[in-house]
Amino acid sequence: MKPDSAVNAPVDSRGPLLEVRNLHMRFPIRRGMMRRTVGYVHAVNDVSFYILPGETLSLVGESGCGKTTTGRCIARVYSPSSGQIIYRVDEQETIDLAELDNRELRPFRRQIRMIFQDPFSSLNPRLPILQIIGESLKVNRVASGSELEDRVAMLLQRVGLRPEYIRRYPHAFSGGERQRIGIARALALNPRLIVADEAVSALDVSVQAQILNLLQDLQEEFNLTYLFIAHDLSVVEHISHRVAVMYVGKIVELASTEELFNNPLHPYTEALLSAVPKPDPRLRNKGVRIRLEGEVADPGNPPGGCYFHPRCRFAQDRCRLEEPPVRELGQNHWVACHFAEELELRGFESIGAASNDIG
Amino acid sequence: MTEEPTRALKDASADPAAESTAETRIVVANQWQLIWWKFRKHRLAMAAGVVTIFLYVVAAFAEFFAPYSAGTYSARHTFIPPQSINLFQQTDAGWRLYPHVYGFQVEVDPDSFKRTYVLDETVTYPVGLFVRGEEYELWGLFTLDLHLIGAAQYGDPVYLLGTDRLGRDVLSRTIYGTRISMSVGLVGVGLSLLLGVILGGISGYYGGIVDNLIQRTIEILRSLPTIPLWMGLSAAIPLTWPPVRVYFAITVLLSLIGWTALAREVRGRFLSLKTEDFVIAARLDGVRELQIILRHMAPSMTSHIIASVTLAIPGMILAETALSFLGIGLRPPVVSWGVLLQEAQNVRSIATAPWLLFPGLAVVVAVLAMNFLGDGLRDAADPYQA
Amino acid sequence: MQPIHTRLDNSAPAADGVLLDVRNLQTHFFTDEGVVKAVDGVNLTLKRGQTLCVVGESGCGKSVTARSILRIVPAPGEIVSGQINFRKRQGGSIDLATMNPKGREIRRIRGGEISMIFQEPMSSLSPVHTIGSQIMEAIMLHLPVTKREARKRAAAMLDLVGIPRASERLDAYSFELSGGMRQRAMIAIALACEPQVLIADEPTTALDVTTQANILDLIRDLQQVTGMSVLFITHDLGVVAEIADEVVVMYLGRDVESGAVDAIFHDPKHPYTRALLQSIPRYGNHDRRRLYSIKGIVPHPFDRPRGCPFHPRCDDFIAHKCDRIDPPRQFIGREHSVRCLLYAGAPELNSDKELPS
Repeated sequence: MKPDSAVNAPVDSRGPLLEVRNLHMRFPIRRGMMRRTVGYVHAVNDVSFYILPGETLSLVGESGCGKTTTGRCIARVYSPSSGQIIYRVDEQETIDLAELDNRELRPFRRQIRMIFQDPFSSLNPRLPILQIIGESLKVNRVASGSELEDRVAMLLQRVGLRPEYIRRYPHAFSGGERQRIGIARALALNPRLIVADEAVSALDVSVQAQILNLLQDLQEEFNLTYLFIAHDLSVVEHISHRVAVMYVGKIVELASTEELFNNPLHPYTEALLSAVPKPDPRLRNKGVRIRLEGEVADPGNPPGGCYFHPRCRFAQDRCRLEEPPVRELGQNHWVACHFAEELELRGFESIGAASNDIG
Repeated sequence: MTEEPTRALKDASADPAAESTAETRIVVANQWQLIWWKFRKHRLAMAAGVVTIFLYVVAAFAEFFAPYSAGTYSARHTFIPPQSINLFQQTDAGWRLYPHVYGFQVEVDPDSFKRTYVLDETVTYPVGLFVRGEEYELWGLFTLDLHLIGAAQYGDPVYLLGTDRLGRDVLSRTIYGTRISMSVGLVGVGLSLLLGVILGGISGYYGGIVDNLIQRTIEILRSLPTIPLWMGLSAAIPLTWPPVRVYFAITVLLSLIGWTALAREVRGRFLSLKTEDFVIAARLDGVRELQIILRHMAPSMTSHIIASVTLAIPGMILAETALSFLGIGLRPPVVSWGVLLQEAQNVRSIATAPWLLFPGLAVVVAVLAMNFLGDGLRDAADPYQA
Repeated sequence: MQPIHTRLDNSAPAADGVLLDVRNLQTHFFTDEGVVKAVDGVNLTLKRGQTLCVVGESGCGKSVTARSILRIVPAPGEIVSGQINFRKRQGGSIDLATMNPKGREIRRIRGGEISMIFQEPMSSLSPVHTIGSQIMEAIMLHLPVTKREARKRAAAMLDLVGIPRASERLDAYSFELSGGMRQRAMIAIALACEPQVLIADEPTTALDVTTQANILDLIRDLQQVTGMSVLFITHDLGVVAEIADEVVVMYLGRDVESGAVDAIFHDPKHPYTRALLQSIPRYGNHDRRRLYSIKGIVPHPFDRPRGCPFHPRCDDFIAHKCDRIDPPRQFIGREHSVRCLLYAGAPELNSDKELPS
């Protein structure tokens, strides 16, 4: 086993629903007339984590950190370049989704579903809602005819839309309503794992709250497991049980939500937490502001050693040369930093974000 | 707050029946309805559409619209200038409605033997709508003798747009020319479309080497100068071929170049649709590839393809006209606008009989109308964009 | 370095410090399908050196408000009524709402006295001109300087907005810069002529959170240095709390509540403001309790509710009142106004519709 196998240690007796081991995804960079491959963008670089049944694991990071690619590898939109995606079929059996071809994947596509970020491009504008939501039921021969209509109507009702909307086209709906339709589509086949890729990022605050509540209700009702991909830390903090922070294709820190927000061990996590605007003017200019200099590293040409070292305020020579392994420090708290034990980093609370509730 | 106002909660779900009918019409409107609503706002394109439909109706019922058949000639009436219709005639009792043209007398210049026509206002030939004239077979099914316009008395020399060197009616021949010229465009584009969709689809769907090969072929084809290429190819058409076969050979020739633009359009759409979220979602739903192409990708492309096809037809019409004008396309006795223009080629006829250029005007109208129509269709093709 | 805030010093200070005073602005869009009342009665007051945030959800008219001020509302939009009183640098007040949007006078104000930055720096910067030439163009349009001086000043501007190696970057093209750097370059262009007012329309929405923090810091720092006023358009309440002095909350083209940032966050009056604040996820809810959410959706612009535009979604809806009476703007504090019938008739409230001076 690799040194970072600790990440994979299941803590739940039932075992994780999904376990990702050393996942890599490289996209070739092609140039010229004959489209020769001149290099690779290493979008996902040796990522390992597990998701327990019924929990919400969030992947956070800035644009280009590989969180969406990781999600898409798990939903098998992409075939990963290497690594394993171990999926628990039942009590006894597990299967590596990364090895399966399209035909073999079919039964698992029903159990692992995806919700997309863009509520506009993810629904075919030329099909009515009945066909958009009903498509998976139809092709998997679960229902057809009037039974299909009934089931789609029920799904619409479950996500908070009127069943009469069944014959409408997507253009008749607002962004939030479209996202509900996308959720209904994901729910249609009684899935176990839902990959929610920035599912609320494109929505207004009030609609975002509605969708987050819906996702939580559905999780309780159907015992769903979420892989929640987001860049908004307040949303992540609200919805997740555990959080993994990604930077340039790698997981730099993974811990329970409370632990990660209160006691970050990676300087990048600290900087991210510090950058979140706090919705309380009285906290302004309180606590320490940590600001990152420079740019996110190019995943096609990352720096040596720790990828974060050019922007890290604690960087030392070792960081430039040696890539930090993922280590477990404390209960289920993994971090990839040479100096994680020595650094005194500030959590969200001490940066100044005590919750204040309105009236 | 000192005063607690009375509060009541309104039922969250509004009455669905309260929604206006206009709104309910929009929410269940499919792609084609939305495209139509958007297209309808484009006035110029609407007008162009009407003109285009009119041209195709004329082409379909050319025998009825034309006063004479394409081949009817009169050796006594060569190079007659266009006659203007007078609606009223003065009689002793005053003006009366009597549509007619004046007769003419031939004068021959004793030096040059040049014939000139002089109006003879003493002779009038009545003109009418829905008149009986030459017999014709409409689509080989019905034998009729009804013409939209012509001499009220069968046999009167009425040539509204004049005649050519053999005494054939220019108006009738232009109307017959509509049939060939407009259909060359349609058939040629039909063939291009077939080639374009298949090759462009393969190119966009498979990608890789196949894509590379097809794209390079397109680039080579597009880099060839078209007129010399067509000239070379049409020179290979045997002179002994019957006119119908020449006609098809020419359309095939035109579409050999024409498909490239459509193939590019199809490929581009394919590539962008392949990564659309809703196509990925369908794949994750377990929809099979063929179904994805037919149900999700093709409908998103058809409206764009129809628009590009409409824009490609005028090119075809112009190409046919150019080829026939150069004498390497269609040949008499086939009547097309290009063939007619070829007859107006020499300087003498332009100077003495400029009305022979009338088919050129028809080309301009047809090409403009199809371009405006295609423009409107292109704008309406994606009704989902704001 | 060239001093770049010289001109502000000799500007005549306004008596009340009000630079921009928008009163009952109405901007409507006359489309084929009907009239969209994108802005339908907005009042805002921007004071010298302050930051005013206009906050609201998509479609509330906040961007159109900003564009109305600079008279760059796209067709078929038109200002149908209201005043936009702006105190010019040389003194004297003018009403921007009555100006010819293509006239010489408004063009002198755009960029010279009021500048604007947008959400998408990539589409607001020209890809075929260098950053430097775009800044120089802005400078030479409004100030009587030579090309050489303009270039020097442009380099100083890039330095000011924190772009490293500024004089080299003058010759860079916008696509050679990262998103954050592009937004900095945009700000440099906007501030090149020391405008009195910077209008920032969602300038950080397309940026990552760490970059957003840097840009917000930058705007705040530049405000300290130049003394400019900022009109900041955003949907993010976190950003509002970080940067605003005054806040205007908009809903369906109306200024439903406005006041000092502390009052808006800690003593919100309008049910919509309260609902918005309650719907943002806040730190510390580890039991993952449900968020408060406003029921329903924003109505379609052709389908504006009668009476108070918020009444179909309001928890405090008063039957036969809120759906009939259009609530007037009333002051419940010195600078705290609200459009809500809950507060009508309360004895200590000042229901005077005019600004207290």
